[in-house]
Amino acid sequence: MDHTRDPKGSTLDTIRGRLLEKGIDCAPTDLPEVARHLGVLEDMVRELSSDLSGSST
Amino acid sequence: MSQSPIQIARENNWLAREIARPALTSSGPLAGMTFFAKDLFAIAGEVTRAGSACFDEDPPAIEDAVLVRRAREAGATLLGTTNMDALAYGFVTNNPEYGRARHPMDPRRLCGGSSGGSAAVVAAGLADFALGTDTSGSIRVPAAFCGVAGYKPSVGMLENSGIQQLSPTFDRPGVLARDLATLRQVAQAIGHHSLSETDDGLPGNALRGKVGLLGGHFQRGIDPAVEQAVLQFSIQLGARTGVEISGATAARAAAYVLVAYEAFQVHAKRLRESPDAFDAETRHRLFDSALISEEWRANAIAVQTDFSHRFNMLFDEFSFLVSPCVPMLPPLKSELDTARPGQTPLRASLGLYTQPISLVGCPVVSVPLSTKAGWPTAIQLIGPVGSDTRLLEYAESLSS
Repeated sequence: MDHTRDPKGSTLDTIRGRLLEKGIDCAPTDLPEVARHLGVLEDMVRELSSDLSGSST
Repeated sequence: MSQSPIQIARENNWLAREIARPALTSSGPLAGMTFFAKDLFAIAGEVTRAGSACFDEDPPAIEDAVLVRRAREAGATLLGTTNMDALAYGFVTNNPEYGRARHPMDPRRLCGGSSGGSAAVVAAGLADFALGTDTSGSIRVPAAFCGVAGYKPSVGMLENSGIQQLSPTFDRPGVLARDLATLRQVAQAIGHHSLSETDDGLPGNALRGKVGLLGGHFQRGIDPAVEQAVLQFSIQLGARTGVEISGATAARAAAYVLVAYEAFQVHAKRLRESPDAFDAETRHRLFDSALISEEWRANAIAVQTDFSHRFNMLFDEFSFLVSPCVPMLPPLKSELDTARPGQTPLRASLGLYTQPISLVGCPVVSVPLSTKAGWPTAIQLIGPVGSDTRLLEYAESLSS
């Protein structure tokens, strides 16, 4: 997975813009690591729908 | 001349701060015992740091956290506060200020976290017990790696007043102790009065067939040595193996998303005003948490509702459920982020088995086991919400 992109396929600049909307001024030097961690979060969001069907046995 | 517990704790990066406070009685149920508290418990006259410089300008606490006070009122002496992942947001106990907590058996290995310092001081025999917190597995993971008993309660069984929060919905204060009898003794002394009652349950052999060993997700990626230790112990319990519940992987993801969402809410003001007060890794993770959409959160809550309902139905059939606490042996630091071909980095798997249980809110006792080669590991002994008295009683019966 390309962890330099956010879940909507955005660039680092887009991530920075989205953080600014939340009142957070993210330093450009932080952005690559923020994007990497965001990739982990994106994986988790994808797993939310990974195995919802079925019941306990 | 032999070293003091504080010296040993400091040398191994288990200590946050030396904050000694005497027992308030010499005759209580914990008289003569010593303890440490994770660095996020309030101690009167001290700033509550939670392993982070972001709180350094805060005023000192006016009074002890309730559990610290109750432990002292029960006769125990506080020796100091213990190392932890900054803000309790991690499973490693590699703190930018306090250092990486070394494993008591092999300093190259990790203690686990975030209550890693608390687990290590107990494992090393430096204190009778320690206070910790468990949001996603932060007592159970280090308890398993260090070979001590751990207790994550149902909500309300142990008071959380005076504790720096990470995720108010999922944070639980808890206890780590050298053995299961001490664990129960401490919980009774500092916890809800109902913990001191004797349940009319059926410990020991009478529960054969009423304990279920979780399979599926809870065996995913497991180290064969851990699997063997867990299976052997489960057979001794008379547990029924292969109890499966679907959706555990989604439940784990939901726990991750919901804790992250709340962590940002808790720290948003500081993060906006002085982001550089946070260490870089924690800051990066909290920034990401700010981007969790309401849609993602709603999806996670839907998973929580569905999974909790189906998980709780298992208790119609079983008195208790068990699973491994962690899939791996105490890892080397070098193994943490380096994946073998086709495998996931170990860091991503540290909370694999504990996070789904946190989502449901069940009380858990971490029961220490040993592999054939002598490494510590543990099972999670899981009860229905509110079954803490019986759970602790049953866990203690396993000691014999």
